[in-house]
Amino acid sequence: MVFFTAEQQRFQTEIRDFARRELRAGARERAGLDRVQPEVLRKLADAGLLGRGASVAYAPTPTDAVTFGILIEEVCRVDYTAMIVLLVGCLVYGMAEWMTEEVRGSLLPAFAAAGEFVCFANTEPGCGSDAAAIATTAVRDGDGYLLCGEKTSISGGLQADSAIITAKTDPSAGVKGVSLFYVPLAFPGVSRSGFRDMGNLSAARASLALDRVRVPASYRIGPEGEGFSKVMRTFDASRVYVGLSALALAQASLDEAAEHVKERQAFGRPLSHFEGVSFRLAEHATLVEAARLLCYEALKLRDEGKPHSREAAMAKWFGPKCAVDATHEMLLLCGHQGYSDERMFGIRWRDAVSTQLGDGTAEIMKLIVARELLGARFAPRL
Amino acid sequence: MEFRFSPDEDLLRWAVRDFAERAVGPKDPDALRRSFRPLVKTMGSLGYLGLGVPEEYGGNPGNRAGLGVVVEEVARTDLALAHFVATTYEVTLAVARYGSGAAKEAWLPRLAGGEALGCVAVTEPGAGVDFGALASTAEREGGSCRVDGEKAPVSFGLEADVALTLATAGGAAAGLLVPLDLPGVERRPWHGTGLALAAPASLRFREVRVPAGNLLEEGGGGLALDREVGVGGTIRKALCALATLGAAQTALKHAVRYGRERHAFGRAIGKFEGVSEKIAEDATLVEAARWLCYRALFLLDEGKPAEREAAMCGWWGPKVAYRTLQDALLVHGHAGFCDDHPFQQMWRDVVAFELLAGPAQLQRLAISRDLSGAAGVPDELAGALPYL
Repeated sequence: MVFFTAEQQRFQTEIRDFARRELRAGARERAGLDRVQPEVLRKLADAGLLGRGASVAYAPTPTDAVTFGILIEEVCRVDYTAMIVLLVGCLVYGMAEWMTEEVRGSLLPAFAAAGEFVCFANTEPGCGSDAAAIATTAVRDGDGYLLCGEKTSISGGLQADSAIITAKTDPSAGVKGVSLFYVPLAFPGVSRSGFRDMGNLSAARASLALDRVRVPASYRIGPEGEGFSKVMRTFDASRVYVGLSALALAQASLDEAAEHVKERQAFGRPLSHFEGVSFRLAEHATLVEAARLLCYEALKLRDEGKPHSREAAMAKWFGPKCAVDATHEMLLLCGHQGYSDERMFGIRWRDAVSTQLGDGTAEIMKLIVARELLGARFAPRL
Repeated sequence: MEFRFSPDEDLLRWAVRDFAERAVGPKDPDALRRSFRPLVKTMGSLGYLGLGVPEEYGGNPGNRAGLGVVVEEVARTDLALAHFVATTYEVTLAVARYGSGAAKEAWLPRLAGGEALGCVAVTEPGAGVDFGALASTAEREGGSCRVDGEKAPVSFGLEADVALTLATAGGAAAGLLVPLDLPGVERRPWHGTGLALAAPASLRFREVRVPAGNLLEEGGGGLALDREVGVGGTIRKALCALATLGAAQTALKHAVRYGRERHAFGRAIGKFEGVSEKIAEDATLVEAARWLCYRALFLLDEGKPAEREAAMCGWWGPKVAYRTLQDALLVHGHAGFCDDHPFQQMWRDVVAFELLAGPAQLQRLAISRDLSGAAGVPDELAGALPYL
């Protein structure tokens, strides 16, 4: 990558080695389990990788966005199950400055040491993309709040120890009535049930039912009514990371398929001698590289403090799309071996599909890009 | 120009649709697996499996288009079952055309009646579509034939009673029937990204002795070279494509319904063009692709060559279905990603069909050969052309 600094390049080499050494063995088996495995969490924590966050004041190892992108890419190429915990780290450190000392003091060290698994809970049965329409409420109750409602489709929700939850403190105020709460999931009134998904199984999604869950007022993150805007600030980064994670899956399949078509013979010569085969590799390698550069462009703008919502939204729809297309085509190039559970092509394709669904759909991303291009007045109306 | 199904074909379509919806219904994979044999038996007794098999062998009259109708309608409910129906047709048509009298007697009535299950075992770990390079062998030894080799993956291989297979005999690929209860047959489960209901297996043949009459060579030329009923022939391509397009129609139906029912930003999501355009485009492609399939089958019924059309179906049909399933899943968001929803399974199954119909690259070479002759195919493939 032309614009990586020397330090970023060193970091890339270091993480690539770490991933190969520590995460390669058993990655296929772990992908079939509905929890991020303790050994993965421990290895990430021991290497200090769960302490990396953008927050200079609160992350144990403050990290620029490009470097965090490198971390995501290199780890996800080898073991996608680590993605959920790295991603939620962005939110944990991104929200740190608005947490009370009480929450920050316990949550951040626990997260960095892999002692607390956190999830972010916004989506509800009746609304996903439309965050202003959430029905979960937080009603003031003495020195605390009572939370009522149902969150669903929460990635990592089955495994999480705690959640950062959006709830309305002022149901009449739309987006401006949304506040954020830190909720340990062992609190009375919380119940959950899991989904069994097509892919990304280890980030097992769950529904969280909140039946008069009482949390202290100190567990509110940021002032009342400012939850939504605070979360949105972290989304521009996390969207790019999701794009990069998907492209890491694509790259892994591209690399493996290239080996396969060199080895596999048909009609007396390697498959790669056929243009119908090698041009598919060439096309997808081109698209994946282009999408990857777009992701790093967005992260670099973020590091420079420049606007990057447009680039982040582009990265979030284009990256996952390229990744699903590439992982699919690479599976097909490897034929029945590609389809077989003995290899990881099918798993990567299914994991890639999950990146098209979470953290904002392609339609929402295209709306953001259209607004940036056309202005709010001429963009499609919501 | 006539552009419609015959009244008989329409009747068949409604009957099969009704049957599949009631018999398979909303499905629980385990329950469906347990009920697989009884379901096949029922389809046999209704005459769906014996289409195109001579009446003297327990079959009933049926044209090629009718095969497509049955496969498409079953696929609307379940792709693995549709795959089974298409597989049965492949076996019965091959036996009917190339089988000895004894082989026809032994297998056609049972396959047509749903009393025996067939499978097609051609792909090998080291060879897929290159039938000239099959490592499996079939050697005549007196009145019998000795079969050795490994076939994987074989859909229905765990359940089937007989396999239609291709093996190298005397330097060329030959078709033969291998009863799977013979000594020397070993089956192991084979797991892939989808089609789990098709009970795929790896089949190992070690010194399996079948009667020489099981070689499918009575008609001259042999099964391996048959452009119509052969493995990789026009019928397989058209039926594989129609199966995926049946599933795609179900996905479209769900996407339309969800577009009406799911609300975001105060209105049904179908009101957003980001959603409605997907559905409209996919509906267009599915409609075009399924007529292309029926065009290929219609040409066969007219006794005309349909290799170009079938190859077009073979690569484009599953591709259209893949895209339609993807879009339907994306319209549903995370709700479609969950195991509770039929699409994710259908989508995974469709990817299998992208391989089962033969790789898209080869289909396109077959089209190119038809359009441009030898100038449209790499020289190295000249030897493989008879199999394309």
